[in-house]
Amino acid sequence: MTSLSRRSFIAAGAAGLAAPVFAQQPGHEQHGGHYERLNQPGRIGKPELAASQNVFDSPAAKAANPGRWQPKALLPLPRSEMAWATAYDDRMHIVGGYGEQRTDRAYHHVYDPKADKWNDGAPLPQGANHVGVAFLDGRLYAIGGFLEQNRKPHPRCFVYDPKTDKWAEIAPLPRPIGSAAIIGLNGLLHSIGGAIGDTTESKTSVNWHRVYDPKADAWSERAPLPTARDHTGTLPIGNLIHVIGGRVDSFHTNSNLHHAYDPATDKWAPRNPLPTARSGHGAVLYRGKVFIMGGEGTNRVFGQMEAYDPASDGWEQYAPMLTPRHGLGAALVGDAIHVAGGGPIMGGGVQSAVHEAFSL
Amino acid sequence: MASNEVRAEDFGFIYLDVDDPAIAWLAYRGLISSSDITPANPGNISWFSTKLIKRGLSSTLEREGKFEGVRQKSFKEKLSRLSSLYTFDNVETAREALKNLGKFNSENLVSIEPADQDFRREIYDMQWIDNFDLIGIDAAERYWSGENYPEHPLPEALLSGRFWILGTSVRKRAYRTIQRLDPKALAVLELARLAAHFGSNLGAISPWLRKEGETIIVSQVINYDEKEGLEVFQRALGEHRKNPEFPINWPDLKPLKGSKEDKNLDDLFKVPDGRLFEHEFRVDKATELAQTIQNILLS
Repeated sequence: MTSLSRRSFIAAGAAGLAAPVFAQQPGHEQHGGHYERLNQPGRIGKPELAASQNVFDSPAAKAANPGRWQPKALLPLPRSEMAWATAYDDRMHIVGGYGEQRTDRAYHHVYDPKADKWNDGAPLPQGANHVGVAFLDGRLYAIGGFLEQNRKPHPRCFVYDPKTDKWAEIAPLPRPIGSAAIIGLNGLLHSIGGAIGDTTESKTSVNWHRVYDPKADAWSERAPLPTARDHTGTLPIGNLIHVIGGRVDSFHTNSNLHHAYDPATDKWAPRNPLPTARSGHGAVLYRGKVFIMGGEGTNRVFGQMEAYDPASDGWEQYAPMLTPRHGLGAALVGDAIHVAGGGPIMGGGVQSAVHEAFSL
Repeated sequence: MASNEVRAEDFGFIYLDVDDPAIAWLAYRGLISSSDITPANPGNISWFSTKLIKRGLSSTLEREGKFEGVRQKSFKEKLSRLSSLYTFDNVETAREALKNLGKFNSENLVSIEPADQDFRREIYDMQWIDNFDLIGIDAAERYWSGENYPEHPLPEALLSGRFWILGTSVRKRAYRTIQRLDPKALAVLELARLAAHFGSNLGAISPWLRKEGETIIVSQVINYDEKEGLEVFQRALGEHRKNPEFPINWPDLKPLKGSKEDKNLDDLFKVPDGRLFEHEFRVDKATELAQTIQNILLS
């Protein structure tokens, strides 16, 4: 691990001083200049537009114990459009995305929950946004991503070893892709859905499902996702892979579809759909349930926290996010869901350093 | 790249997603109908609504439910968006909708023309729908009133009736979709195409919703009758005898020629596996989406 940058240290320290537990109502976000515009340097407060775009109502039944959110150490700098985060050995890794007026950042921040601090990991060899990330057998994989604002995907793939803090390049994807969901399961890495297109007009969701075998350093094809989409919430539960929500081409057309894939049969099956259709959200398995938070829609940034119980195939709503965001990094670290960074308003115009954790 | 088979002077324009097997079937058959003219059947639904359901676009469908509520209350004589065809009367608007909405594929734009004289066409401004989240229910009132949106109106055309699908490039891709998914169905598909040419309803496909317990299923039903299929086949042979140029895809019809005793009837008259076309979903009973779907199922 490289040493802390000066900026990381200051940001983490400031958060440590200002860490009271906020009231558990939506909208009580961390204060101060924790945001930055993509087109203008300098920290700003939360944009006023967020108040009119934030939504919290869920049609799902309320859970008996709604849980609670707490502010945590701010990210070293405002970021968004990472799309995902991943965790291993009690550390959350957030890779790539927008920040500091560029859309192809190579940032790699690693969160240590015991110290409530962010460290700098070795930067991604190819900066990009919407990079698919997942751990498989103790190594972090970073797959594809967009080189421009939510467009122009590249095919390069990398693997990171936390022990040596080094990245290595692996076999590229057969075709470039961005915002694909990446899952490590049973020795294989699955790349599911995603989007292609070099321009905003031509951007299209795809149903591709490819599998990377680290032993062979090769990609192969599996049964495609039943409905093409990207910016999904995807995660393994037991031996199945669940793909929840996402967008069909655009966040104007968000999907509530929920499918489960069985690698043993190479087949997809429908599951109870997401109560609030959205994309650019987080999906984290916590105490046996899948928690979905954040996301983006037309003039909407979702704060709803909805959880799926695989045992009952049912959904419940929990305490909404303090600071609704999309294009965020979310992962289970210790016994809490950590959600860091993301955009507080529709689109990629503003990034945030906000970091909050949810626990029951 | 949009097909150069689309001409500005054509009657109307529609996007047909021929990667969807049901749309591929109707596109190759060459005729598309609004669901309000299909035989009375609770659960009839438009192709556009079917697409929203298949893609899980619940927010969009809920918004459609709100527009339908206003129509039923104050504009009952107007065509319903839940059962009519969603089209454009102007090719430039069709292309602009592609640019603005990003949910259509330019390669799927085709021209259409009425198959019958008694069609209906109503023009509305889609900007009211796109801006519904900002304006609220007043947007629906103004939409159904036929008012133009103040800034940059974008007219769309709701159609009721049967319409021929023009051009061949989209239909070629449609054919390949069925060929890839269910090659044994190609004989019946060719019969369906010939039937449409003869004015028969054989092989017509239409979407509808049905409920099984708590699960709602969007299905597409293909109208097929073996006896009628043979009649269409015989008529096509007769036309071919009179005019050898009469277009028939003989390789696809080959399984129907020769002795039936030598063949498995199930293979001869293979209608595509309905599971290719079906999509199951569930909705929370308390949502507006559930209310919209309930209205369709009971209407």
